[in-house]
Amino acid sequence: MNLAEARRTLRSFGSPRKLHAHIDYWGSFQGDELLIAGWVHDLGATLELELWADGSEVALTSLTIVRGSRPDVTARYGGEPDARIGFVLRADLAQSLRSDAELTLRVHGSQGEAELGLTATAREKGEKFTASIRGYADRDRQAAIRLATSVLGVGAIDLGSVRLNVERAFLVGTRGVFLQGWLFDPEASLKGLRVRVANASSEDVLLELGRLPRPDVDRAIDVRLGAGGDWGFVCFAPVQAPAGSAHAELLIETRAAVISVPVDLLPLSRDAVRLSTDLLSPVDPSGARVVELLEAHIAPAIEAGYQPAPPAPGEVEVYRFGQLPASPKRSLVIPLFGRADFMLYQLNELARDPDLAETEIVYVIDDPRLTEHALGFARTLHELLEIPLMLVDTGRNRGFAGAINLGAAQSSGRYLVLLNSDVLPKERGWLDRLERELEALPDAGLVGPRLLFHDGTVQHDGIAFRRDPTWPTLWLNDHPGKGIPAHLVRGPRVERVPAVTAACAVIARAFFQELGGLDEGYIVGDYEDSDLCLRAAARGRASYVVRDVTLYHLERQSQSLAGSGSWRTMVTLYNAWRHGRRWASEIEASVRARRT
Amino acid sequence: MSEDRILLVAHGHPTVSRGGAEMVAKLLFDEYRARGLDATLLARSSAPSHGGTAFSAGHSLRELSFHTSMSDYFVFRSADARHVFKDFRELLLRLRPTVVHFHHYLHLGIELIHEARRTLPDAKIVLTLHEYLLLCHHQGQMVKTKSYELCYRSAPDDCARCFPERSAADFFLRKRYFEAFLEDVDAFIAPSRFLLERYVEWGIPAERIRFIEYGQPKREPLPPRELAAGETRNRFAYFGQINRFKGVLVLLEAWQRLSAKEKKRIQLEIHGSTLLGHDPAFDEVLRRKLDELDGEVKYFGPYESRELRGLMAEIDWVIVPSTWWENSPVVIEEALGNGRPILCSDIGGMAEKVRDGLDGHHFAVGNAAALATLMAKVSRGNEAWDELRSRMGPPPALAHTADQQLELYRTARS
Repeated sequence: MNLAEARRTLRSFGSPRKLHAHIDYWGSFQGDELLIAGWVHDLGATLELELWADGSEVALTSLTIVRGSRPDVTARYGGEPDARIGFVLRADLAQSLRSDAELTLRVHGSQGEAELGLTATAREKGEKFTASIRGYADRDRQAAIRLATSVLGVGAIDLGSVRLNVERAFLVGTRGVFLQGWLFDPEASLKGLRVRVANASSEDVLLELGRLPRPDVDRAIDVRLGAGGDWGFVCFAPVQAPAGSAHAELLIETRAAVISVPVDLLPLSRDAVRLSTDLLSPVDPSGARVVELLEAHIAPAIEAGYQPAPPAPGEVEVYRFGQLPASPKRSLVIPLFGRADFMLYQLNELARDPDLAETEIVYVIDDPRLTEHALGFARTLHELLEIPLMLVDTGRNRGFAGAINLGAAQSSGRYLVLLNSDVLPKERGWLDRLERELEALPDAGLVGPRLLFHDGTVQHDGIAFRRDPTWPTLWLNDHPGKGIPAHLVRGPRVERVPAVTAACAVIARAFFQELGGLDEGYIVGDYEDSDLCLRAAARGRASYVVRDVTLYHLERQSQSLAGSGSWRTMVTLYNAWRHGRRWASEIEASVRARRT
Repeated sequence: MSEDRILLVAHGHPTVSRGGAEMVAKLLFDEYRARGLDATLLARSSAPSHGGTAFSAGHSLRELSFHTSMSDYFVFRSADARHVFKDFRELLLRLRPTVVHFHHYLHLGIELIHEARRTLPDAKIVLTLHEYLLLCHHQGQMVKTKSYELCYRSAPDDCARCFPERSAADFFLRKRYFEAFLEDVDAFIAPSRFLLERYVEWGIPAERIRFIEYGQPKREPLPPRELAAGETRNRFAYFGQINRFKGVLVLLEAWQRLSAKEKKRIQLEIHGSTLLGHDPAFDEVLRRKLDELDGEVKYFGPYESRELRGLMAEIDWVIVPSTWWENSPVVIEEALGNGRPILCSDIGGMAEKVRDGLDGHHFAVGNAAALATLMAKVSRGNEAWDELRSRMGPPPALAHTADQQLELYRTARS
């Protein structure tokens, strides 16, 4: 029955009887769509409905009603059990309602009238919707679900009681398609789902979809028939796709037929931040199945789609200020990201250090927004402080590993000092002291100092590995002693540790090159340092922390790993997963060795 | 001298959070340090830390901040279990305290108590009780939720009547849950006899709870305020945090009941403020009342604890009109230390700490008329004040409190 039909119905004359009636469920979507489920104990054929808001009638652009039986109601108030006194209605309003508007549904039936308030207790409680249509005959129930789901999002594919909404589809190189969206199929009536690009089609991925909760879909309509489900999904569907494909088809297999639906393919960004945002942000890092989703869908897509490219000709620009030492003992390679003003404080310390004469300082601008700012600092500071400098502009953001590798390639010192721009020396002569430790330890591959926060608590004292109950299958990098006053974090003056941070670490250039530098497959920046240390260890060269050399590290990261769900946490989880896949047995051996 | 390594855990640092319990923990820490003891203060902070760490050294390397929070105020659950089983445990293992003296679990998570026991089986665990939070879900006030009447009994059925959204069974579970954690505590400290009795009645074994007062650093009382010719002891003041349980409205109503002549003779000052956003409905009532009395009652707003002595020098009487039981109001000890007689409600910790007729006078709790009569009476001449001043006792000495607590660390069940 539509609006016109509803309006056409006859009203009864005389003093109307008050009908038994009730609203089980109602929801308001996008401000101008209402979904209401309930019953009116009127055994006649017709119902006229009016919606009132704050005392005036609301104009509707359309009204759709599905009716169904309510044996629970007729058992109490009389009538045949299959009398269709239940209703589900969708009303599209001519204009949006205030969110706090007081809503009333007025019902004129053949046998009387009722006035029903839309109360907070019935609002958007999906289980009440489910209960409301439980007594409907199958056909009516499916029609009710179809009506209910029709208020969910624009662009969803309507397949009877099934709705599929592919919100984004990315072409992953030539290797496949990454889908993100939601599939509402409470009765599991879909039979298959494939992705076709040009002439190739993927395997059936219906049962492989990486399911995840979608509270927004739940909120829009929380219709749980029997077993509920996580309606959201991500999915990497491997398929041989011509490079640059812009279109694909979804092949949706229902009981009756295979339906083909076109989808547009988005190109996956080459930029690690954008790429990882696109692929990682749909997932809540605290979700129960986050590691499964990473493993089955997200990691394969990142690995198939993310190729850290060498710089294009002319992309990298090198600036030199002052007379750089001809054959320096060491090169400091310092990526700049986010802010450049740390140069002011860091160079002021380095300029006064007796080791400066044999030191090549290389800043790598890994953030195009900073180029002018960094050059400005370099121009004035090299004059003021008489400090020679090299700036390497990467032209785009390459992540920590990419920036270090580029800077290392431009430099020439015998030692490489991997350094963050927010690491500030606490005392002079630290470079020489660290190098001497590296020389004195026969099996050392890397040495790092102890790093402190500004308040004297430990920032870094060597990296260890740990498992976390939230992601029990992952090995996470742990920082023992972090945040604890340095005097409470005791240990030998020089100690072998599983890994050291690249925020400040010394390694021989030849060895760094032998190892192939930092692995740029880690996104944005973490875990590439422990990966380097583990690769060194695989060649019999250990990492050491030198506790009597201390520097400050004013780590900016304001959110802990345990912090709220975020893209940054997902990046860490991805890197941890990638790191753990490569090094699980070495990590386990290291954890066992430290326990004993 | 004590060989103990003492870890004091507080739910805030007084530089940030001005509550009595925070102040008391810090005073004790300073006293221990002044004696050369190996003490560390761990104070909860709501600010974010550097690098997302659980701890930082916000005040000094021995006064650490614990950047944590709670998720469930019904049973004081830590919002981040990692802060308990990972970070707090690591701190305990590195510090290896022989005594862990909790001054609170609020904002920290009551799980810390068990973590201390589990990680350091031989450490002495001591808990100072500052209000009635374990007994009473109504902000630990032992005051009914709707009527704000005094409550005499913590029991599941009674508690559920204050919180209709919860059942008696919920309060039964709450108590059982706490009792399990309290098993890990070797000794409890009650700063008032009144509070001690309440907790014993509730279920803490009497042999495990000791009465030890807060204590103030030793100092000379202030000289009496110099009076102008013909002036009497006519200046009354309220000091401290203000909330709906502190009785400031009773005090303002008492003021309104004074006759016009008395109002000319008497001065009333209010020092302190409400916690912003904590109870907006009360803030509004208070603001209206203060506006109404603008030009009559002087409202000064919040003060730093170092300013308190100077403020007390300018007044004669300190009024403590709380409409909840209180435990051991720090302002009473401060008034005693500064030689300022006290007018207070005749219940609970106030009636215990202010001896009627010796340290000040009691008035019937919540009774504005009684307070007005008392204010008028004691300010008519100077005799009442002079007499109290000559009789009033000094506050308990912090040094003595420290001695008693160190002794308790030694003798507490292990």
